[in-house]
Amino acid sequence: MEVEGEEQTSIWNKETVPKVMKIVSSRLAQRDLISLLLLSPWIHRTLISYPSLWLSIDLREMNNAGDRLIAALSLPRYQHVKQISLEFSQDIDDDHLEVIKSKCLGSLQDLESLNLNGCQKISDKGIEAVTSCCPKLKVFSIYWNVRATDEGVKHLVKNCKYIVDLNFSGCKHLSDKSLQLVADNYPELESLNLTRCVKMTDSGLQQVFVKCSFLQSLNIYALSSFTDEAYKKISVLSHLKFLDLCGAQNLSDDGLSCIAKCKKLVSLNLTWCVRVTDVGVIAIAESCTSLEFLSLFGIVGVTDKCLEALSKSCANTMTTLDVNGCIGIKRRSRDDLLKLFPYLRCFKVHS
Amino acid sequence: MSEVDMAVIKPEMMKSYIWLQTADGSIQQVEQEVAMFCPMICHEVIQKGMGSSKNYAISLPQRVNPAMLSLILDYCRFHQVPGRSNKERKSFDEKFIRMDTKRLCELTSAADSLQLKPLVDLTSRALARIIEGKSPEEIREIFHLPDDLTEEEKLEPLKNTTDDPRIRLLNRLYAKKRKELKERQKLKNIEVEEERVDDRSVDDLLSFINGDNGDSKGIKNSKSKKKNRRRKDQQKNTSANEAIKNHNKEPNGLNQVCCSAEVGQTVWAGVGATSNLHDVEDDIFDNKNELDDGDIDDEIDPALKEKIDRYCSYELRKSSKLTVSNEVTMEVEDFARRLNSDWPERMQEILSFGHERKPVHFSLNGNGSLRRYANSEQR
Repeated sequence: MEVEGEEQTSIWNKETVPKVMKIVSSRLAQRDLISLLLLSPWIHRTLISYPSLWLSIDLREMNNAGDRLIAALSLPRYQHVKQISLEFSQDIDDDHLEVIKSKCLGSLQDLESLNLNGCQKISDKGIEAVTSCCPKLKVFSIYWNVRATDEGVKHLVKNCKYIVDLNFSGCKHLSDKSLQLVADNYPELESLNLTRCVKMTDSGLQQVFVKCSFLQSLNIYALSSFTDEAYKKISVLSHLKFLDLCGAQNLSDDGLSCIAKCKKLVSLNLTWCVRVTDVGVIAIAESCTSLEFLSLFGIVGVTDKCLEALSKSCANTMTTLDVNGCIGIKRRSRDDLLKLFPYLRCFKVHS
Repeated sequence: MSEVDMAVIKPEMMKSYIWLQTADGSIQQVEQEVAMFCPMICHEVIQKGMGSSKNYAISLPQRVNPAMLSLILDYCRFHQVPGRSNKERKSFDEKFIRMDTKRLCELTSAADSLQLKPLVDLTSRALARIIEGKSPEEIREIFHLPDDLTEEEKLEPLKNTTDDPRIRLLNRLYAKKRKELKERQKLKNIEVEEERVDDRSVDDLLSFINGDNGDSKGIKNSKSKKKNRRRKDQQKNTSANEAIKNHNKEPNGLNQVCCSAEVGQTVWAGVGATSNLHDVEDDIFDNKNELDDGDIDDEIDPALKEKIDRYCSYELRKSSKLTVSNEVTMEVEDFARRLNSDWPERMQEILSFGHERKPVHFSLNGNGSLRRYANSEQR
């Protein structure tokens, strides 16, 4: 009887549980997967044998991230890793990336997405090192890095030819030169975030619009020096779905009317675009009939007229509408808005 | 009258039944429409013509014992009825999966062997929710898994003919583990089952708290310890064992030994040790100095590689629990202050950045933000 019991336990440990863990594993985040690996050698063996589980390295917010990354990349199961996130992690700098370049070159060959958001110690040198290892990179994000310069972008475009998603938000030292590099090298670019890249000007931006005609998402939040010169050119981006113009104080109705030509717009942020009036918004309303997200926060020049126009075309799709601070609109209580836009769920975007 | 006679006389009265046999030998008959809800059974009936009588009962896979079969058939019986609304089905499912985790596990396994995907999805979703965010120790307990090192090997020291530093490292870990297990064994013999469970949760709590504070302490200590690296092995061995006696936090212990064995030349900055494990830490630093880089992988045997892999995994996994809190404001303020930025401006930026996705990255458990604070002060 005891022998049978032992055998039962053995089957439970060595077969049943590992198989079940494998079934469950596809629903778990990376960190939980690693917990599973630590449960027993049989679970470990079972899970390791499924390479599809090990395509992501998640070191978000961890300390000692540089060392941990190197340790991970030297493990056989991460040899085909596709996605690495070091977002807001600590203790990772150029040296770690240099080590990776010299020792773990092979593991990054399949990398498609690299998130270095908030890794403030990394400079152009590190960018060169890491991008030289991942030729297939498609998504590159380096939010809030004040050491990155146009040099770093030069390395990026040289090493990674297939980028479709770029986030330079907060990289305040990047200039029009970077925009030129991006425009010249990434004609298939789909998503670009230039939030707070204050050195950039109209001419750089125009280069991007002309050459990256497949852009679907453009974020130029908190960039008050652009003018209609650039804004008008947005009209050529026929695939544009997401546009963040928060803080575009120079944007006029003229500019906005040109932007209205991007008929596929789903999300439009006009927070603090203080020169805009009904004219511009009505132009948007008449053209962009699939609008789901709109912020007019802080614009005093718009009135109930524009809301009526919007309601005519986008009543069925609008789910987020922020008209706080729009003192020109008299009927903007929650109930008033719901009358015009019955599917509205969110009434506040900006605080 | 025999069954067959009955069937001849009143065929419309006879429901069709499928005969199923579980691994323990017992045979039962099940209404056809219920049984056929399981693809595996369906296949057996249609492709192989099995299940029509007692003698031709379909042999179910070993993982389907009578208890599991009964549960599965309950599920099938409910869901195979076409007229039910989604709400009804959902409600049934929610009640259905209310069972202890071990059973849920068995059920997943059984349903999987019968290829009953909807039930596998249901149970595995429930299991995923249970596993999420838990430590390996907690998961092991929930699933009644033994402590792997006891089962796997007797923690015998490995032969180290080449004086490979990684094998030395592992042997030391085994020695430590042996000691820990001996102590736990002692406790087990003295105390009742329940109390042992309590011990564990106190352990977890300790490691949860100390793991965080330990990190910051560790960084400070390891930095100062680097200066004292040149110590003799012998001395360290004994002092490490001494240290182990005082140490009773299993998860942290293994967390600390990070598997820098495979890390070439990088400096291991913060092994987050408690003060007791400094000596073991120094060992690791010493070992690293002697390691070659890169291609030693080929010389390690797979079993050893696996062990190293596992210890590396400890390091890739944070020991603390992750919860998403909604107090972004406080976290953002802390974070911004730490980065010496203008907090209202940053807040605006972060919130706008956050409106594309949730600002989850700022929220850890309460200790998380404290920990980061501590670290920055250490620098």
